[in-house]
Parts: sequence; C-alpha cells; structure tokens
Amino acid sequence: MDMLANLGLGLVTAMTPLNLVYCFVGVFLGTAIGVLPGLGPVATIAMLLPLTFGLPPETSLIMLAGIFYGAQYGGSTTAILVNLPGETSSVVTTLDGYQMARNGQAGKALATAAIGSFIAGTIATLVIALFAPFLAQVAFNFQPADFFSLMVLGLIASVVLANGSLLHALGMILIGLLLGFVGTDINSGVARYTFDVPELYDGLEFVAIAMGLFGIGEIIANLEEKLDRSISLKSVSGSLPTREDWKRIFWPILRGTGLGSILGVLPGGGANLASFAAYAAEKKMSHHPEEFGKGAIEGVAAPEAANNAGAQSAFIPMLTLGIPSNPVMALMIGAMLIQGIQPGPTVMTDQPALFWGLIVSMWVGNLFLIILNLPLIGFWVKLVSMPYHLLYPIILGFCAIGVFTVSNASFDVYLMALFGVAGYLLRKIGAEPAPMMLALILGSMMEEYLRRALLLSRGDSTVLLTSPISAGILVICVVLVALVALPAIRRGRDETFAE
Amino acid sequence: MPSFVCNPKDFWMGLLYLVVGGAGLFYGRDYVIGSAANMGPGFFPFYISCLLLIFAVISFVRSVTTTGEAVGPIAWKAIALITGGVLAFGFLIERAGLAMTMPLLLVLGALASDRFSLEWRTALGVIAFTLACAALFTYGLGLPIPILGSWFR
Repeated sequence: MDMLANLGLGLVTAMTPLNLVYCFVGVFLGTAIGVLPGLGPVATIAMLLPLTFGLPPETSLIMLAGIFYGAQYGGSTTAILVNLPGETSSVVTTLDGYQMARNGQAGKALATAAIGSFIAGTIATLVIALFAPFLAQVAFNFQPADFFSLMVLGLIASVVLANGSLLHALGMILIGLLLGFVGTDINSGVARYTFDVPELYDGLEFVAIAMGLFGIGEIIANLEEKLDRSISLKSVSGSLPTREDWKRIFWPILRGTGLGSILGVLPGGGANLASFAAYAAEKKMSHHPEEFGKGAIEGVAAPEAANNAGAQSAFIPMLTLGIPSNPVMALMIGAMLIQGIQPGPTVMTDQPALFWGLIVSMWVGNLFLIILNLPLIGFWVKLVSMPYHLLYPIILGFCAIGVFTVSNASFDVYLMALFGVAGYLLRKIGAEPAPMMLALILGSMMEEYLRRALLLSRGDSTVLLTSPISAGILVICVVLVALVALPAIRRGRDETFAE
Repeated sequence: MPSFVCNPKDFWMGLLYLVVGGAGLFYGRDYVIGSAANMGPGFFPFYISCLLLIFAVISFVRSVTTTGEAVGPIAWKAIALITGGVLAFGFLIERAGLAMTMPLLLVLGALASDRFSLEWRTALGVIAFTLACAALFTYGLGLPIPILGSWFR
C-alpha cells in the first residue's frame, strides 16, 4: 500500500502543469539529440544545466532525465532509417531495424521500437518504485567502509564495461581521482593543487569538464569523420504491427525489459550492454534464428525494450546511494548538488515529492515519447539528415555560453577548452574519458569515506574486509577484474564491442 | 617518440601517466601524508600519484614489448580553431560582450570544417543564432551575460 501512496504522490508531482511542460521539453530535446548526428546526452545535459538553475529541483531533474531516456528513443529512429545508431545503445537495432526499413516496413519497425520502449519504460518505472525504497533502506545501514567499497565497485564496473584496454581504463580512473582532489580539502582546509587560482578552491567545475570531454572533444573528433547522412528512404511506409506481429514481439519485449532492468543498474554502460545481451538472447531462443539480421521484428523489439529499461534503471544507484553509474548520472548528481540536495539514501525520506515525482515522470515521459514519435516521424526524418557542418557551430555556441553561465566565470570556459583538447587526444591514443569523469566525481567522496572508515577502526585497514557488506562488494570487484583479465572472456568482450 | 617503440598508443599513455603522476607528487610534496588512522591531505594524492608512476612503467614496458597501431593524424587545424574560438569567447565575453563574442566563436569554429564558406546565408545564420542566444539567455532567463561588454561602457 505504501508503494501506491508513494506513486500517488509522484503522480501529483509529475502532473503539475510546470512539470508536465518541462517533462515534454526534456523528452522532445532528448529525441532530437538522439536523432541528430554527433550530439550525445552528456553534452546536451551539461549544456542545458544552466537553464534549470531557476527551476524547482524536481522540475529540473524531470527535464534532465527526460533528455536521457528520450535520447534512447531518438537513437533507434536513426538506427532504423539510416543504418546509423544515434546512440551507442541502439547499435544492435541497426541490424534488423534497417533491414525492415529496406523491406518497406520502416513504419512497422519504428512502431515496434516505440511500443517496445513504452512497455519497457512502464515496467521499469514499477521496478524502480519497488526496489529503490528497499535499496535505500539497506543503504541506511551502510558504514563508511561499505560506501567506500561500493564506490570502488562502481569504478571497477565502469572499467569492465568500457571499450578498450583494461590497463588504460584503470589509469584514467587514477587520473580522474587525482583531478578530483583539486580544491580545498574539507578535512584540513589545505588547498590542494590550486596553484593560487581562486576559481580552483572549490574544485574543478565538473560541468566544464563534461562539456569539454563530451562536447568540444566530440566536435573535433567528428570533424575528422564524415558524419553526413543521406536517407535513401523517401517516405516512411508500412503499417502498425499486426496481431501476428504482436504475438512475435510480446515475449521478446518482456525479456528485453527484464534484462535491461537488471543490467541497467550496473555502472558503466548499462543500457548498451543490455541491448546487446537482449539481442543475443532472442537470437538464441528464436525458432527461426536465420531471420535475424534480415529484418526479424524480434531483433528490433527486444534491444529497444532493453535499452529503455536500462536507461531508467540506471537511476536506481544514483537516487538511492548517490553513486553515479555513468557520466549522465554524474551530471544528475551535479544538478542535485546545485539545487542544494545531497544525493544519497536520505533523498527518498527528505524529498519524497522529488523522488517519486521523478520516477512517475519517467512513465509520463514515455507516454509523451510514444505520442511524439509516431505522428511526428516525418519531422525526425528531416532532422536525421541535418548536415553536421551546420549543426556543430550551434553546439559550440551553446557549450560556450552554457559553461560560462554556470558560475559566470571565464575560467570555466578555459577549462572546457583544455578538456576539449584532452578529450580528443585521449580518444586518439585509445583511452576512454568516461571512467575519468566518474572518478573525478567520486574522488573526494571516496577519500572522505575511507578517512572516516579508518578513523573508526583506528587505522586498521582490514575494516574493509571485516565488514561483511564491504568484503562482499570487494570480492565482486576482484571477480570482475579477473573476468576481464582472463583471455577467453576478454576475447568475447572484444567481439561484443566489435559487432 | 623513440624508434624502439612498437606500440605508440601505450607509449603516449605512459607519458601521460608519468607527467600526471610526477606533477601530482611534485606539487603535492608539501601536503601532510599522515597515517592510515589519521589521514592528512596528502595521503590520497601521494598514493594515487605513486600508482600512476607504476602505470607509467607498465605502459612503457608494454610499448616496447607489444605491437600496436599508430596514433593516426591529429586534426591540429580543428583543435586550434575550435579551442582558439572557445578561449577567445572566455576572454572576451565580459569585455566585448555577447554581440561580438558569439559571432567570433561561430566563425572561428565553422572555419574548422572544409564545408565552410563565407556567404550571406552563413552571415545570416550567425546573426540569427547570436540574437536567439541574447533573447534566450540574457533577456529570457535574465542571466548576467552582457550584450555589450565593459569595453563599451
């Protein structure tokens, strides 16, 4: 009954006119950036963060969340229509979605993706409502040592799911941790690595770093590649799924939702991994696996359901533990901090309207998305073919003005430029910036928790292993690293990412 | 890059770890490390920097013992134009104001693309976007972004 009351409170919050409008704005922008080439949710959310300063906290989070899951929707549109994934989580949708479009079933493929995403979004909302309170309850009993280990797990898992070298992903985490120490040490008041620059006393502005790495850095990288797309499709043809199709996609959608909800909680690339796993599972279970890759409708339904469910369940660790599972969630935590809310298990008890309003808004947002996507498809098709050389100066302009408005500091603009170059060069030498970004956010938090844990244990570092929760989490970390380091599994992982 | 390096990417990553770890130790040399029970502000920076130096050694070893693909051409022109535009924006936004700074950033940024040509449509786009930004950020949201900066007052 508690859950119903909570969802009721959420519904009341999500249904206020202001929140409805911003939810719509969020999912609309999200779909647009999912469709547009070379612009991802991290850069967009960072750019739009200043627009939310004047809004109430729940409204701001509702809009930012809408951008994130809306982007998963938009990504599938480009995957189906032009064989290019708008977001990495829709890579597998290109396999069968584009084939369906070529067979004259583009409309059906888009509808399947939208329906699959909607069902997954609805179920994932319920999953969050069921499990988030439970997890927050557990988190109330966490000791500092447990939190420290949990953050280690978050970082390790982001490495395991990162594409590329394990060594360099770990190295990027170390660099991120070190960058996270810039600023005044909360415990001793010592200014660390500030070089007498007053703007650095509060630490590196992470919005500037996110925009640099994922906004400016991407632009420089994209200019090297040919990003222009042409649509061979003149009009979107095909009808809604028939009764026969429904029979074929019903279970794949549910299985995709299940996989997505579970894998999405994992730090790193939850939604990406979920869509790969769901596609692989359907191919294995299908009675006609030979159809996969040639336009099997299950190959669209399952991964689309999985990535949408994954995008939503990625909010669970952020909302209940205050631990970001990917750079987008790191920005959401930043948005909460800007609004004066300390993320963690207390959010649910101290800010029930915000917590439940955000969760229910995801369901409302999914409803908007299905309304937005089916009739407006012609508009999105136009956006798909927007030339990149017209688009990127606009992104550049928004990044510059957005980062300046965070604290009206030219210094942040310089910082963004610096990390833009860094982001580009790092990609060039094969390092992923995402783990660095997570470590940067977690750095001083981890330090504080470990300091407290060791203070309580009088310097006995075995406290990390004697607390059962912490020990359990650290064992999982070791297993994860061992799994990736083993040659056989490593090969499998590389193949998954190479596909 | 020395000629015996067979894996350039590992070499450059090693150099990065060396520089960041070395800088972490050097600039953090005065921070009190303390003990495990009573960590000083230098405790974490010291050990993380040391780990980075170990990673540097591993990467350098890997760069001579394994082979890997070359880094590939670096888009220096795009880097210079895009970051130059952003830096100029940061420096000029409060001095010259949005009306001057935004067009400068857009044109410098657009020059990084081969497809850019200065014609009336480009100029129109630049003006339209600048006006839209002024309307949205300065007037609409009331953010303190000057249209004309301190130089003109």
